[in-house]
Amino acid sequence: MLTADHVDARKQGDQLVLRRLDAKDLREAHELAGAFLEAATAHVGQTQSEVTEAWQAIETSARKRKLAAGLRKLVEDGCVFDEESGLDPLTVRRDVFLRATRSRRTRDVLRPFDRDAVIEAVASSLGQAPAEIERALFADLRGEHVLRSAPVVDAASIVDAYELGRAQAILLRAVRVRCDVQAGSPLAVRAFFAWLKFQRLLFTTERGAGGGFTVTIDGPFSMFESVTKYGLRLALVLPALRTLDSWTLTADIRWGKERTPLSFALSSKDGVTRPAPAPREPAQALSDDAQALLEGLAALPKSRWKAEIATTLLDRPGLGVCIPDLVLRRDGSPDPIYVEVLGFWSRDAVWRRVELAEQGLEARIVFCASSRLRVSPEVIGDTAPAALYVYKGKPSARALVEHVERVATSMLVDGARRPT
Amino acid sequence: MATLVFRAGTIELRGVARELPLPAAFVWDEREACHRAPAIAYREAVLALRGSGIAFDDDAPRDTELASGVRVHREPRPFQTDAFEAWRAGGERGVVVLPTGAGKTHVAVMAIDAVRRSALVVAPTLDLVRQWYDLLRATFSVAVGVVGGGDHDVQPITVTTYDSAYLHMDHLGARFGLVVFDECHHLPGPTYALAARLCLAPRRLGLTATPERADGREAELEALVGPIVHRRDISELAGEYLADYDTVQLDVELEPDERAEHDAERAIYLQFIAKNGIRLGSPRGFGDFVMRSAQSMEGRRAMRAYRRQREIGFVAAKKLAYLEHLLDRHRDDRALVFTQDNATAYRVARRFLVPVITHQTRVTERSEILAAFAAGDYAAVVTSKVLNEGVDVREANVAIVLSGSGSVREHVQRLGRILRKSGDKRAVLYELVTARTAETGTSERRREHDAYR
Repeated sequence: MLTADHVDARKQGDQLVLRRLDAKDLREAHELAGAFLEAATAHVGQTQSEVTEAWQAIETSARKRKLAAGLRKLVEDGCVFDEESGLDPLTVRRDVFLRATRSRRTRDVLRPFDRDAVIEAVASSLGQAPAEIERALFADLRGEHVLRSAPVVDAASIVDAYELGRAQAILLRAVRVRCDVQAGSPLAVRAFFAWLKFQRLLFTTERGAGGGFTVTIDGPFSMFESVTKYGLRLALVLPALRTLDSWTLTADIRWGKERTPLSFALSSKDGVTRPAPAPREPAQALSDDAQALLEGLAALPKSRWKAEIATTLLDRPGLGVCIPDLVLRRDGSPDPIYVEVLGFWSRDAVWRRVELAEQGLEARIVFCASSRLRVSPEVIGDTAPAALYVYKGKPSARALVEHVERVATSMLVDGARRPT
Repeated sequence: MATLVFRAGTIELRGVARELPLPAAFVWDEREACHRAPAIAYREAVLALRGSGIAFDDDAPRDTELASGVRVHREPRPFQTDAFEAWRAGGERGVVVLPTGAGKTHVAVMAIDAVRRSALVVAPTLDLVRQWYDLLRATFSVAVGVVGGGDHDVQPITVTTYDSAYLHMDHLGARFGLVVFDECHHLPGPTYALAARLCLAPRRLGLTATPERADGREAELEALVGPIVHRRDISELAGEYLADYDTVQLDVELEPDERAEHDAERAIYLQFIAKNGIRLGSPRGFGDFVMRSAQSMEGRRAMRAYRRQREIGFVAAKKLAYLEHLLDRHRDDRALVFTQDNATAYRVARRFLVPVITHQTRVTERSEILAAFAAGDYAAVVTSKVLNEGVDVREANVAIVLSGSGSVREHVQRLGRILRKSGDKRAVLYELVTARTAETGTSERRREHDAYR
């Protein structure tokens, strides 16, 4: 990932604005990316120090310093370096240094320490040439690693990655992010929310204008200090946003050495977001606990419940949104029971779900929350078509099924709508 | 009834009206409709809440009582007792400043034993984490865990790195009644300081030999850990509790060809400085140079010139020749060779076939080298900065500073590495300085400490 050092941005009032790459900039960026890629390809088989030297030799104007550094970083990230196989450097070093210490201690006082003799002795004991010993001595150092392969992408991909990466680099300094999102398919919106949960971000969701959602994302400590602690996770929101049809993002950031409070805005209309990648597979955004439950349910012997990843959003306008992780169906029954794993992150999320369930959620659901949140299963009343499964450590598939069975016997609240 | 709970590095007060006047640390959190304060404010917040007569259930702390205290009793030295008592008198918060080798660790052991609550020890390197882990396991009979370096084992006594503390404190922060910050001069600064702020522990002990920082942020220690409650310097303890030592400064001259190249490169660098009106003496002077050097070809040439003239000083031929002599002279001792940068450390290692430890050295190899060094299988180890802290080899008796920064702290730490008392050991620190280069001034700056007078 790129960092603030790679970002060419300027302050405009209380806004931080990315300097847009115009046609000329883009042409230069493509040329530079091409040069870095070419240099990498030409140096396959050579050491990292040599590749670095080749990159440093590529002329860049002072004005394009950050652009060049960012492009080079992305090319370097795509390179595969590995240490030369053959002699184990650690074994060689141990042998060389022990012999050298002994040699220094036992040498004739009138004769200087003979470095070459030590290397030759080690070479001889390992059946190698002295030059091989010299080469192997620090072959595991990063600078000595050999470039095995250069990135097999074109310059345009590197430039696109740079445009995304520099926006993410700003979000690394974000304290809080607000997004307005729209998507043609509920699956895409669901995947976006699932991604936020997967990243364990605190977020609140409201129905926005035009059928979209307004999502505010931050961390608990954000209100006291401009902490960048959540920055990495906030930066990872951007690739998820790009899967949606239309969105705007506003981030409160702390910028520069002085950590000046600024605002940073971005939207699906900005060039920075192209190209839009394919929507994420839902499975990619399942938390560890939800994934473990899915696997545990599949492994349960004689279970009548079949589980799969949920693709639905349970939306109760004015109250909030619930993003189930799994959906369970009993043999022969069309009515699903949803499962949402709340984990241990947000106690408040549990209260919100309780409120949703009690005010009439359109589906039956089991919420799973860690006992670390110190909530009791009884917080959900008997009349709600929902249950709260409080687990210690890891959730159990068997215990979940017991809760699901109980909810299955409850009735849907009158007038509840079907899931969107 | 109001409830106080710990959540993600903060404390939440629920069940109290928004309008109710609360201690200053609390801020109304619209997101969760509760009052919230940073976890570090826990002690003051509780005292203030009690003082204001607000009834509340305190569910925030999750620390536990240690099942037992120390199992291996060691008579503390008088200055350790003084330090411990000063810390207790200071409300079990504060920083103890003792020289390396004087036994700061034992003050922490006394604190953990006295407090008898679950404790977290935060140390800057994995080497130090390992040393703390070994010592605490040998001293206490309660379980000791490690978080960091691939381990995540939280126990009544847990040792972790500053990096891991930063990463995990938002969920571990309520589990300890006492937190010990070893080498606590690392703590001030936006990242590590957050670890202290996300932690609820009402009792805090900072340990360091040198609280002073180049950026002057040591003042933040008072808010993060507490004030300095006890301080002793090397010169006060040398002889009786630390090994006696000598410091030897050696000026070496550049060879004529080195001198010519050094002066030519230095002229390029200084010309750029003068032309751009950069004031190197000002706090931001060098930062200005770095920034401006990146903005033009001339600047980049000046940066190369700066680096080259430094490098010539670091590895002057006469310096390396004298190092050869010292390695021979101390071939039956245990010598630590310190350099300013990794490149020089590897250069020395390759030329003199001496084991090297840098940040690139894997932990297993580092441990193996230090064990062989302690056993006498190696007579010398070369390192850049990673062993300024974190090596505890009682037998080490020679330090050779081949190059270094102008930091007083670094220089004192390097001296401290050879001062651990062992029999009638007398330690010696050599400082090799290339004459008539920038090293002369650097050396003068770093020697501004009682230990070198």
